[in-house]
Amino acid sequence: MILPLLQIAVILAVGFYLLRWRSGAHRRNGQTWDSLLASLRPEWSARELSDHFLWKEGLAATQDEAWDRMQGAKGLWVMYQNSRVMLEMADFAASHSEGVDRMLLETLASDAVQIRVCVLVALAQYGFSQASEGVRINAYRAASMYMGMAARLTQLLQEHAAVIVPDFVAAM
Amino acid sequence: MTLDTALPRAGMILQPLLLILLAKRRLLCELPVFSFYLGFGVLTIFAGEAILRFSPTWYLHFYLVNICGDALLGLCVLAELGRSVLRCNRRSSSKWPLALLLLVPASLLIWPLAHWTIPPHLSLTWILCFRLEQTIAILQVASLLALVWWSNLLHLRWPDRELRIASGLCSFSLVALLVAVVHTHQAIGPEYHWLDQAASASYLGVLAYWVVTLRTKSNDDARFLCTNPDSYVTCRRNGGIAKVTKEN
Repeated sequence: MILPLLQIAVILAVGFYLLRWRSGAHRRNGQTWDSLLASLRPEWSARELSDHFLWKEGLAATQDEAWDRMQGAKGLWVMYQNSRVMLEMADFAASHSEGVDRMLLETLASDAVQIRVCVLVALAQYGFSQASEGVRINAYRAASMYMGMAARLTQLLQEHAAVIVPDFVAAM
Repeated sequence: MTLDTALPRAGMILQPLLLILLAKRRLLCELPVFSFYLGFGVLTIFAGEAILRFSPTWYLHFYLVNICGDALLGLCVLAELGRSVLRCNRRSSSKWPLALLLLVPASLLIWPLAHWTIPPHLSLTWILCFRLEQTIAILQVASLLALVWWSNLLHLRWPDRELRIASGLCSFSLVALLVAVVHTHQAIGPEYHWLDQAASASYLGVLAYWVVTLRTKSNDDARFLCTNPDSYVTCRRNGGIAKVTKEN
């Protein structure tokens, strides 16, 4: 008797997952530029890591300084969330204007995946060993990629949607 | 009219109606595999009815061939959806042959597993039927999950039309899997057939959903996606963000 119940429970769980995915995908299709801007996390800004944030890649801080300025796990989590929103912004810009460089879009998608993986690894390490050397290295790498992604997205928006760049810069 | 005759007749109406709608909205060329899948459905409903009338003993063999063809086409529809989602997101992927290759070991893994819960006293044809039903249902749900997981990983946006097709396939595949699983724990009797009817009814529900949603315009076609009343900036769908105009 347990086996059929178990099988049905698994199928219902898969159904629930697919339902959640569907509502998420549907909600994403209804997003506007304003709602995307509003979903950027405001608690922490990567401006604290470089004076040229959004315009140039690279960090103006050592590993230890970067860790302190990003306020540890708080900055990491903001980068995790914002990398997803930035990718959605790039997709939004691409779907509303002609001639967006496909390679640039693929680079941004790859950046977002790498940032999220790096942040998750750093957060897992942080959970076990607090702010060890390994955590700081991973956090620095994530921040470095985040700077690069933000600069590339700014470049894309400047080329294809210059009028919305000021709002984007202010929100970041 | 019994439910057994009403369900195929409703299918005979809904499937051609859906094909006509696809043709009317010029989607036959955009979604050729999905259109072919629906066309195959129409043909098999008529063929099934003819076989039941003139040579009922052959119906089980016809059913076995039918579910195999239907499953293969269903997997091709998923591949078409994946390609369409990639195109909509202006991305490319060179890894799709790998996904096709993974289907072979997945089928080989599911085939013996599907035998596990089948009652042993059945005839060879029925055992084959149960195994095929279960293997195909699991494979379809697994492929759907893989497609969803992959699009989540790459953070791909699903256009409304493809999302609706995928939602329909998800619902039907889950019901088919549920029915296949319950069948293996059930005695042959009238209740057994009720589940088959429920599966057919769910497919009709999916067809009706596709008909209704294909008749309405999707957000991708009709919506002005971006408005910012504070700065009086309106982004127009066709002009795109690059051609944004400030309105006085």
